[in-house]
Amino acid sequence: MELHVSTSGFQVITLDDNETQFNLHVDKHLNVKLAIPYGGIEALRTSCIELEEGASLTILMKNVKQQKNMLNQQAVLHKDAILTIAYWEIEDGASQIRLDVQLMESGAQVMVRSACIAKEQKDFYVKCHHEVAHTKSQMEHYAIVEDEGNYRMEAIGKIVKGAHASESHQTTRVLTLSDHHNSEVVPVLYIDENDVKASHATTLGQPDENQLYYLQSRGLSRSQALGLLTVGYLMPISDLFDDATYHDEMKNEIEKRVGLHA
Amino acid sequence: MSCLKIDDLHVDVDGKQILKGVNLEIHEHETHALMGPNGNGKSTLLAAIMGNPKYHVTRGSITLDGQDVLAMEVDERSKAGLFLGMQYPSEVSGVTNSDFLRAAMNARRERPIPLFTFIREMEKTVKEMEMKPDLAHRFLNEGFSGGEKKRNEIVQMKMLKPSIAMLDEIDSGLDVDALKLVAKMIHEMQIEQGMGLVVVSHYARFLDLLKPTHAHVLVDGAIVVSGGSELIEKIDQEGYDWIEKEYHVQVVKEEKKKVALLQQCAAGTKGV
Repeated sequence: MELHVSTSGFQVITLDDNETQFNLHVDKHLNVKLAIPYGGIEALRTSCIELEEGASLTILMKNVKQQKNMLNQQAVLHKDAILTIAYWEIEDGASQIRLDVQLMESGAQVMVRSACIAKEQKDFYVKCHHEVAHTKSQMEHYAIVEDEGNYRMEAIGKIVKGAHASESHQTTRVLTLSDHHNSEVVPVLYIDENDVKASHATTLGQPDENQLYYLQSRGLSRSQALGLLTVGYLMPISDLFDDATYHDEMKNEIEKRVGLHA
Repeated sequence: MSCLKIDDLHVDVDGKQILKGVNLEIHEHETHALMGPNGNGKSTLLAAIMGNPKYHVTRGSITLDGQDVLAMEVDERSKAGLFLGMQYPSEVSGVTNSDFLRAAMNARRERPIPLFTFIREMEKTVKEMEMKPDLAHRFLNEGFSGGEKKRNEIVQMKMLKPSIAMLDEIDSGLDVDALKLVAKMIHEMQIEQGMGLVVVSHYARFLDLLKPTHAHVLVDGAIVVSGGSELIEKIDQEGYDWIEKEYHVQVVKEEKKKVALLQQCAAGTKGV
């Protein structure tokens, strides 16, 4: 599928199973918000995104099925283009997500977010290349790893020589719900320029027992309390869209997934 | 008729015995003031009743209307009618007050509370507690002032309607007007639903407002003397020294945390 966006606004576009490749091109100075529900097809699905000068794209890649999912995306950003790309991975089933972002001209910015519940293998590889000066990348990843779950996040910020006044920041927070899990976070910063700002932060741990006790002391079972904490952990991803209905829908889906609607 | 009965309760924390045989009985409509110097077991007693996993009951029993409280999980104790207003309520980022309270209310109902009924009830309670209307949408206790956290405990108590409430130094962080407001709310709940109350407080003004029907002094893990308002008045005027002499008990002094010193510091080194 080739999607050439020439009007601003919020749209939901569902990817069919036979669409193993979808490319997206956003014209100059447009402000586009897209939610893309799709499902794994047990084959590699590829995607190229290109933002022209001054274009702004917020895109949610929402995996809504439990089949094995392999997604390989590339994004190219031109002058002053802003890309916000988020991955929604709360369904059971293995996923392998690759994203490679090229910040090609000054003023280009990318924000990468993910909200993930790992019951099986969830494997992310995200790389942001700062090819020129005055570019910015920010990565924020939140994951809940369930019993026997397997989560890996490799997040790379690369700032080349000459890309001065660029910024590369990343945060990964992982909450593990059991001792039996395999969680790995690999934060990487390759920096060949002095005049830059860069940071990384990672937390990986179990829920706070004091918080759980507090929630339980008001009548919530341990699993309900964990469910509430999970919703709170993953919901920041819904801030991407102003659309209240879609926001509520996403929240509802996480609540269902963690058993709060039982 | 609700009755919380504590019999010969012994409790350990981190292998150290804190409670050494507490006996207490609270009925509905009653207000029990639990007094005593810091570090003698008041908060431990309330936490053990609520089921805090850090506190281990080694002997004795707790029953609520004849049901074995010690056999219940923490959430079951809450659903059975117990409520603990905590001294240091947890901050829970990402979980809004409304989501939390709605889940807590639904946990004790067969059918979920309709959304609009819940919103109406929450708005009414927030207004009564003179809190900001955005409370429902804020994350649970996150960024709250000390006073806001304590008022929020009372909001929860009002909405969950326990049969026996325990308030652990709920007055700390509250100004005089807020103290009056909290006391008024408690009185209303006692009149409307006959709630029994156990309150830990060092603040005579708060106890004046609550007008306890019973008072108990806990020293070294046991209740050494019980009485009525005259006991509160005496302690307010004379402190706890007389209890040590009259009842031959030794008040447990809170261990002061020592400042860790470096082996060698500038003040102690000799010049070369």
